Amino acid sequence: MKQGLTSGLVLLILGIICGLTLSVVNFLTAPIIMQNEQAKKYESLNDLGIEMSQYTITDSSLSGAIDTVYLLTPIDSQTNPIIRVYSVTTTGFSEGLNMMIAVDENMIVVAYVTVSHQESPGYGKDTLETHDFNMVGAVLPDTTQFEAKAKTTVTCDAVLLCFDLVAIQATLDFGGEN
Amino acid sequence: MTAKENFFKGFVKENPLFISALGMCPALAITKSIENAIGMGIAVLFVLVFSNLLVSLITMNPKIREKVMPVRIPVYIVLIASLVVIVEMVMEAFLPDLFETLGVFIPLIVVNCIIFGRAEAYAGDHKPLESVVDGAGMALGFTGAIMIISLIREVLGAGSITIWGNIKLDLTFIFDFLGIEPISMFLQPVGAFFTLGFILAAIAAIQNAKKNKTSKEVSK
Repeated sequence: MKQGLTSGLVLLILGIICGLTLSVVNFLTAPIIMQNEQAKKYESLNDLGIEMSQYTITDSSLSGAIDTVYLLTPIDSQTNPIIRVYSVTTTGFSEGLNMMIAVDENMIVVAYVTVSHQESPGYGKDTLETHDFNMVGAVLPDTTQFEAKAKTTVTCDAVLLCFDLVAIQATLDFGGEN
Repeated sequence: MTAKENFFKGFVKENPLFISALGMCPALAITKSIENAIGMGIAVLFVLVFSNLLVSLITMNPKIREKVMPVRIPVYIVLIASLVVIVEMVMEAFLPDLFETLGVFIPLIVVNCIIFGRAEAYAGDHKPLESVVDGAGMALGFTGAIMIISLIREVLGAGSITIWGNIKLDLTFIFDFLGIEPISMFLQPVGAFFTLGFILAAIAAIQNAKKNKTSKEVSK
């Protein structure tokens, strides 16, 4: 009985000491870890060319082709509109064509960027990396100004599908067409 | 045993990986690049040195030793687990890329046989300084061993050596000279088994040759 009690006490004391030590280390490292996670999450958003320092960013996860929606709320609401950035994935010549498309509260496409893809070098890959699809300024859900590139129909269709999917989601998010 | 012998025994004579075959999981899983091996080595070094030190300090005092001995296994596990969590948090904060690459193998240091084995077999019966020296030697021996595996795998599999971050030594010219491509199989898990298997076979062959030589000399 006494032996059991002593063993329990030893483990209790050790647990308390270890717990306190870990809480101190956690106190010191947690803010840095959070900062790193934040920076990583929003790293791809910087590629859109939007000045992120002027916005507070919150994100929500969805299921389906659009996996994440970042809500960019302007710090100064008088000069900047609310923007939603959609991370959308479709299939071109290969699976996993991931784009980020930024749409403002007037349903105007503010910016878009291809985050990752598996398209063929020399064809779809070149189109995604060099071709301008002329969608900045388009008012969704109207995608008629979309400019495809010859010989890369499958890739261009996948990109257009990204915009179409975002148009549907943005219509829901921003409360219908203006 | 002198301090020097104590320190260097983990390098070759009692190498935890190549001789005792301990810590095989990380040795097979994370040895895709030298950078990973160095990162894992630093983590193991920290945990092993401090676990040996703490275990030795706890068991040094006869009164405390008497109370701890019946529950020494959970005590060692709690100590090792706490040290591993500290390494995990520090690495996640300051080396996030390496933390992501090493992934689950950082928490798995808790169940790495080297750490527990040294605590049970050595630190529990030796003085703190001797235990620290033993821990450092064993950890560096383990680091050296996984670096050798990484070197072979990375050179054969990728044709380069990643020293740290973007610092890379490109060796593709050797493959170009030989007119062959790097063998990507070596970057797969199967490559780790092959590499470790060949190294262990080579060590066994050397040991057998030495034994034969000694027995011949004795019989003469």
